[in-house]
Amino acid sequence: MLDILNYSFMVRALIAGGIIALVVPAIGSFLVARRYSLIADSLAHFSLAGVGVGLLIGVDPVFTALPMTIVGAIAIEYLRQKRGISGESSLAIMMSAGLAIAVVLAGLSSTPRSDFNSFLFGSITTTSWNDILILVVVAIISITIVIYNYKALLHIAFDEDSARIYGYKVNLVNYLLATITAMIVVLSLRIVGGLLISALLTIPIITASRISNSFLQTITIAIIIALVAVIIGLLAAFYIGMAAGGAIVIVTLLIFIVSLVIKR
Amino acid sequence: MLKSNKETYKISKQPLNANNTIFRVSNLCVDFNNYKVLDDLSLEVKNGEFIGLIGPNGAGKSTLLKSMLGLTSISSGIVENNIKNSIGYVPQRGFMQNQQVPISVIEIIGLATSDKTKALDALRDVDAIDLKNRKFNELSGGQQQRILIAKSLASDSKLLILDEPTTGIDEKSQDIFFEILKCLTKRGIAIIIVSHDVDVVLNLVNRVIHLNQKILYDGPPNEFKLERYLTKHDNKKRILLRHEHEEGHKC
Repeated sequence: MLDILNYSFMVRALIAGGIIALVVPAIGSFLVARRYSLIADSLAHFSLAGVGVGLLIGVDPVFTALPMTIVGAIAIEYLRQKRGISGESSLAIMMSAGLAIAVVLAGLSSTPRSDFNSFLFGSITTTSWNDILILVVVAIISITIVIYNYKALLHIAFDEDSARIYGYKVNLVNYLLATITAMIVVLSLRIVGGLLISALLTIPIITASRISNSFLQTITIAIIIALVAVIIGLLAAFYIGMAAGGAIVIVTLLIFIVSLVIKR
Repeated sequence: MLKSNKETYKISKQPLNANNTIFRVSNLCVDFNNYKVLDDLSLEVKNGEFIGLIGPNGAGKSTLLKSMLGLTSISSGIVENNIKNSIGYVPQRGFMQNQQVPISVIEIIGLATSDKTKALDALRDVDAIDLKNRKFNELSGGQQQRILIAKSLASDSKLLILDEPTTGIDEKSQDIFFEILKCLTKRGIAIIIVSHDVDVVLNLVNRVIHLNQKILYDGPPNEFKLERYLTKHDNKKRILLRHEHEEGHKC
């Protein structure tokens, strides 16, 4: 059973998946609470534009996708906060913009289409130690930001006006949350893929919120669900040959269905 | 031209004057798209005052509250207080009915204070200690509003601003809610309550402000000309409804 650990690419995938499973629910819970679940989807689509740039100029796509996605995240918040465009509409604008740029750039690029597809659907074999190093750094930064701003984030999730009255820098915290979401989305591309990251960001939280009594409990249970899903999904990918990203999301869906049956 | 809050919203460390004034609005004007919502409005709020803010729809009540809370930009005038971060706000019911992620009552009180004793005392003050481990979105409307009051108490609010807090809440829960508010004013907490139910407001508060872009009345409830108010606003509404009924609803 443990021969999976003899393959270094699977060890790297398990480490990367485990880190993502720890971080994604911690961020996703605040997004879901604010009905902002689709931000991951929009950012993932926008990150594909960055991937396209990387493939076009021959640079590791992560290094081009990261700054572009952060800019996209800040643009979404800017449209919402400063231009009075609803969150839903600003997400739709950025999603379309990102995908349009990605499609054009992918067409111009001479790199094989499979390289681009690996970012769409994830590809565990392409996760390098370099990727893991970046992931660890980003995960530490993200978790530190969440812990340091936990009360502000929870207050904003509960009631943004009230958080402003209590003196929190709501706009700044919103920009921070959007930025760390962008970073995690980009770094999850190789594991679950751009088209599936929003599932990992929302389904464990929605499942956990059905059985938990508090916000903190929801985060804890969602992390456990995400970890279970990543491990089972990667095992399925290795032993049955399933696509890792799809397998991980299917496991989260199965757990969600079980929660529906157990707690009607 | 709307001015940013930095220019117009001032928080003083000194008493505003010798009369226990904690909040002062001076010559406040708010325009939206060249439409005057509030016109040269001035008022002061003192410790322990219980103020009822009444007026027809579109009178500028919510804009006044948002200006006082620093949530909206104003065109001219000054809003100042000496109770920084000690203003509690209870919005209209229903803004968080469908919470996607459960937040427990004790977590909500925890947003206002890290002191556990103070949090539990605040829940006892609103007779809601039994609800501490419940999910907020599973509580009744009256219970939710009491929890929001407790949140304000836990942060030592000196002024509570309530925007239509009892809309859609049953009469019994309203009575409990109003009794809690009366107790709070006895402790020196100032309260401003906006309500469409003028009769309730007049029986509850010790100062009435009738607003319709300008302050039309500011004084004790027993001197307020209720008949004139009803003639002006409610009768107009009744006539309008009768016309709509006679002519059919035009959409």
